Amino acid sequence: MMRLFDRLPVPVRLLWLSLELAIVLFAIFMGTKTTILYQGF
Amino acid sequence: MLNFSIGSLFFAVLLFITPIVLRIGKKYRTGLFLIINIAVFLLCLKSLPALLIGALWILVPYFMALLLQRAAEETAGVLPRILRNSFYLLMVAVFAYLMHYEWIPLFKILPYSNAVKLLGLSYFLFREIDFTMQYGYLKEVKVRITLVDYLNYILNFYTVMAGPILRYEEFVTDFYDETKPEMSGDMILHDFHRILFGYLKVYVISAILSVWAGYWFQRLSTGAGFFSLLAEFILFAFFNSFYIYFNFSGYCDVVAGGAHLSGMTLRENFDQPYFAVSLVEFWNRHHITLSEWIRDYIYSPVIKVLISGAFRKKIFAGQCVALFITFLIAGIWHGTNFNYVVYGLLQGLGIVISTLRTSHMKKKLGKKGFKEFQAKKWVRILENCATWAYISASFSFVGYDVCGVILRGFDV
Amino acid sequence: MDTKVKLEQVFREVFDDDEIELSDEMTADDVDAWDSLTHIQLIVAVEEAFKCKFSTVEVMKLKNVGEFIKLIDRKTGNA
Repeated sequence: MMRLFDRLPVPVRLLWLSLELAIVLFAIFMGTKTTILYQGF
Repeated sequence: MLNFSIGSLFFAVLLFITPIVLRIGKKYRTGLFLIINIAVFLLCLKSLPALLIGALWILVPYFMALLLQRAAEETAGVLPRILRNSFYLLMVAVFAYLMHYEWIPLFKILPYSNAVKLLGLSYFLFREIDFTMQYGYLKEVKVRITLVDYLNYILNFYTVMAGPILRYEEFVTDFYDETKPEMSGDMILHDFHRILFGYLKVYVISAILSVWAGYWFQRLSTGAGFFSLLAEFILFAFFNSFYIYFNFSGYCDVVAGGAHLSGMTLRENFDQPYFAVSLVEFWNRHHITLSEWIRDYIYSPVIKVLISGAFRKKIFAGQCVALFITFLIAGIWHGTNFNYVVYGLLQGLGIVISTLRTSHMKKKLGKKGFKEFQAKKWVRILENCATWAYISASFSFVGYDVCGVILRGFDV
Repeated sequence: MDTKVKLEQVFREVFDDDEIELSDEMTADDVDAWDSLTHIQLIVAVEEAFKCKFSTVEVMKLKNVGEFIKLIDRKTGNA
């Protein structure tokens, strides 16, 4: 995934990033609850 | 006080502000980074007493390292060694007390409040032990040692939550490395992608897996009938193991990407662990920095004591005992309740069985024959599946009260 | 006896392989069986053969044969 991303042309990379950002923000604002493992140890 | 996790707004703000601050104020980046780290540390404290405990927990090892070194240089005989060993024993005892292990009866009597627990307590311990143990070596090879660098190393807010566990030498060398290439647009995009992909792993993929694992755990704890329970357990363990991988490796991607934007390189913590063909290989590819820390500071000293003492003529048995002890400790460390003791026992047992099998196979097929046998495709696939199944089964004790379910099962 | 020759004997014994020949740049990657267990076995055998003691960090930092020889010489006052 990481390697494929680095080889794409810049506009495609930017589009990819905005898509990722949208999904992540959507998930967080939808209130997905997941704790970070190992935290607090 | 403040909730500090990669999902918090606080962390997200830091993720973007820190690189800008450190790069603009390049001349003062050591000091600026320290300000940010101390601010995060203070904001995460749960109470005033925690401030005192935290300050002691962080500062004492630094000055102890100096003191122990001086003692070793100036006094001959066993005294420095006794001092040293009692210091580490004290560290571990205080650590166990602060962690408040539920299955240690003594802690039920002693006064305790959750408010003294520090964020990233055990990761502090790992780093402090690394620093104090290596202090003499660090001075010898002339690695830069100052209180400010030490504090940045210990409090580094990128790694304070859950690693990766850097070594002091590694951190300082990297922090002051001037041969690094200038940040290019490509690199920024790469880091952004790494951060966002990490968030995606944690808040989308692992969140979904966690819901599914929770669902099957619920069915497991209320179900009946051997075969349906077994099926429910397998499904639960399956989703849970992938949940752990995506959650933890996603977190590592976020902090590694963030730190890289600020000009720091964190060591990789994961290398496709579920393709491992043995338990040993799995631990070399999962939470790598912890495995290496444990190898250096638990396994090596333990096995050295064993094979130069009681197991002098029985090296293989010594190896098994050392592996068992190591993995038991590693398992217990993961959490405070009894499930983690079972998890540690399972890991220890698994590693001993796999070592016995390897040695048996080597005797039967010869070293070369065994290598050829292992290189076969079907063998690799089978061993991969077996490793993965065993890991999943033992991981089911992480985060879920599987012991409780089993005990309830016996009551009925 | 030369440290290197004596160390070579220790290596041959630990790895159970009479063909091992030491060179200064030799690392764990060059010897198949040199893993974290045999590394400690080596250390223990060397401690016995040369009558010296290594600390946890010294054990950890030993990466190649050249460093090994230097460390032994320093410990035994041969340097």
